[in-house]
This record gives sequence, structure tokens and C-alpha cells, in this order.
Amino acid sequence: MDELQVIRQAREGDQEAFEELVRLKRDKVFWVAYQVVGREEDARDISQNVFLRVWRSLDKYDENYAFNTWLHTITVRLAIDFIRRQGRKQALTDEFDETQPGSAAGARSPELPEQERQLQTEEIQRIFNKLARYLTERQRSIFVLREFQGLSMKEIAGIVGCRESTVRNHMFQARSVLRDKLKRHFPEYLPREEGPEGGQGSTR
Amino acid sequence: MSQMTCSEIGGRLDAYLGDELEGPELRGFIAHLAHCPECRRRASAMDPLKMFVPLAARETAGEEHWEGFWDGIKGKLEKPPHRRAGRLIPWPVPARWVAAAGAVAATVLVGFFLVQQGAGPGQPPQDRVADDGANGLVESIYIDQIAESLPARLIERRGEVRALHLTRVDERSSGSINHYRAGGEVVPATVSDVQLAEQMESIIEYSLIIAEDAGEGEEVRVVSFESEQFPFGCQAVRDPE
Repeated sequence: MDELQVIRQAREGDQEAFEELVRLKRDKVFWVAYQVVGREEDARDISQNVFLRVWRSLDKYDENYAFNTWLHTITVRLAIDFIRRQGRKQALTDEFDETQPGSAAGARSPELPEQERQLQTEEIQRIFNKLARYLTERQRSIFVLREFQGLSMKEIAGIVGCRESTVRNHMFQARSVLRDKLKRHFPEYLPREEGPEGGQGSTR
Repeated sequence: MSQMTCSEIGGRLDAYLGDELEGPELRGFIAHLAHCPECRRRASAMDPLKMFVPLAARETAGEEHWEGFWDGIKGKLEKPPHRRAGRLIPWPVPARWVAAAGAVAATVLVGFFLVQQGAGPGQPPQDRVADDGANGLVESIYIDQIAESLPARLIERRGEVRALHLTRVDERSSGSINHYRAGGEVVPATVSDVQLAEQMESIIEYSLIIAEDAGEGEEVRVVSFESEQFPFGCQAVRDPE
């Protein structure tokens, strides 16, 4: 059964089909939520709420539009809502997960390439979480949708509810802030010629 | 989406770094970079932020991560999908008071619109976004999308309305972000927030704010009434532009 069939059956109230839809989309929803809010438990709660909204709004879903975009819209808006309700300072400061969601933490066997890759990704995630705290929730959402999901500026504008020019401005600001903070806190990750003079160590 | 080769990536790297790619090509690029350390290294040498691309391909490791996830959803699916939002006024009010208040509110509102009509054509509406900076979630909506939720007397007047703002108020927060349309051109929306908002269990109140682009920025009128589906607080304001 293809995705559209699953969606149609779920729309008819078929809970088994909806469970299948959840299974198909949960990773995507969870990771978008996680990249925006930065904490596993919160991302999980948001993801569940996303699917509840999907269930209750499926009859309004227009098949002429990409389902994933619709899903992104709900996810990002709920994530932004969450951050605003929590207070951005609280949500995006020192409380980011240091552990990595859904990963086999502790099972470190460097001789296995996949686990090596996983460890590398976890380190990258840790750095991103630390730097993304300097972004507003909207900048962060836009950065995630563009850089990780590959959505067009027009799609992002529809999702976050502003004009394309505003999205481009937020994107520019987000990249600028991230580059600056990366240079300041993790100079070892910069290309050699961009590192600070004599900067061998990290200031993190 | 077809897999891109390292050669194809190399040929379009400048376009990618210049943010010129869109659609399947952009997503193909990201998918390739997420899994190809060599191409990622080349991209990161020119833009260090590309080091984050592997985060685009994150996957949870194993079913154990999802333990209880579906159960948490399923338990709530069994509740009635549509519930009536809480009352605007948290104490019982005699029905005739509500009816009288509604009638007064409708009169005031319609009167306001009539006054605006009589005032002659105003300046073209400004396309702008106002954010009151409040910390609550705000649902931005468009007139057509909520038409069915509005009382008939408002639907009749909606042709003159420049913008609608739906402010969601829940138990912990409130706030609003305003969505405007300019010159009849509505910014496209991909989903109706009303459809989403009505499902939020924490919602205890809706406020519908109607903005007219009629001159100096000032609040003109606040009226409240209850629709068949939601308690609305209806506020008419002038556009500060």
C-alpha cells in the first residue's frame, strides 16, 4: 500500500492505517521537532501532538499539496508554540540534551564503521544544539527546514507564516549567527585558513 | 529522487553553496552530502555550516526508541475528535444575557463597519506583519479558511475586512501574530490553523480580531460574542500604518 492509500484509509477513520502512517512518518516528524526544540522528551511529546492533530485534521488535508509539507507545517508550528510557551531562554539555553535521542549511547565500538558514523553525527548534533541556542525559534525552524529538509523558500514561507523575503532574511541571520558562534566556540571545526590566529584549542 | 553522483555534486557545488538550488535537486544534494564524507568535506571547506548536513539524515536507532509512542497517540484517538472549546466567561451566564450581549455586540460591530464604509475609501492596506511579542501561540488564519466558523453576520461583512487574527489563549499563555493580506492578495497558507487550533485541548478561549486599514493606529472597538462553535472575543482595530 502506498503512502497516499494509507492517508486515504486513515482519513476514513481506519486506525490501523493511521498507525502505519505514524510509523512511516514518525522519524521525520521527531527529527524536525528535535532539531527545533533540542530536547528528546519535548520532541517526542510534540511528535505525538503532531499526529493527534493530523488524525483530527486529515479530512482537511488537500491531496494537491505535498503531505510532508503539511506535516512540516504542523510540526514546526507546534515546536515554535512549545518554545514560546516554555520561554525561549529556558528552552534554548543549558538544557539541551547532551545525550543523543534514539542512539545506542554507550555501545561504542569504534571498529564498526556504522557506529563510528553514528558517533560523528552525535558530535555534530551536540555542536548544533549548542550553537542553535543563539537563534530565535523562527530562525532555527527556517534553518532546519532549508538546510536539513531542503524545502523551498516559498514552502518555508507558507509553513512559518511569513513572506519569502522575510524567510531569506531570517536564513541570512541564522547562518551569520551560526558561523560566528562556530568560529568562536568550535574553531577546530573551521577550515584551516578560517581559524583564529594560533587558535589550536577550543573555547567551548 | 535519483541518487546524485560525486561528479554531479562537484559540478553543482557552487550553486548549492550559493543557495540557488531548489526542489528535488536540493534534496538530492543534501541526501548525498549527508552520507558522503568526501563531498561534505569539500562543501564544508567553503562553508563550515555544511558540517551540519548529516543531521538531515538522522534516524532513530531501533524500535525501542518508539516504545509507547503509538500507545500515547492511540489513547487519545479514542476521545471524541471534536470538542467544544471552553467558555469565554468562566462562570455561568443566563442564556438571555448571552443573547442580549450578542445582539449588542453584533449591532456595535455592524455599526462600526458601516461607519468605516461611510468614511470613504482609505489608503491601500499595508502588507506588514505585526507581532505583539507575547509568548503564546498564535494561530494565523485567513478569512476564507474560517468562514464556516464565523457567525453569518460576520461572514456578510468579511469582504471589507483587511485581515483577521485569531489569537489562541490557553491556560498558560496568550499572544498574537498578525497575518495581513495586501490589496486583496492573500499570502498563501498551506494549512488552516483553525482546523488545528480547535483540536488543542488546552484552549479555553478564542479571540477573533478584525483589523481594518482605516487610518491611524488605534483600537476602535472591542466586542464579544459567542459563535456556535467557539466563544469569540471580537475586536475591531485600526491598522497602525
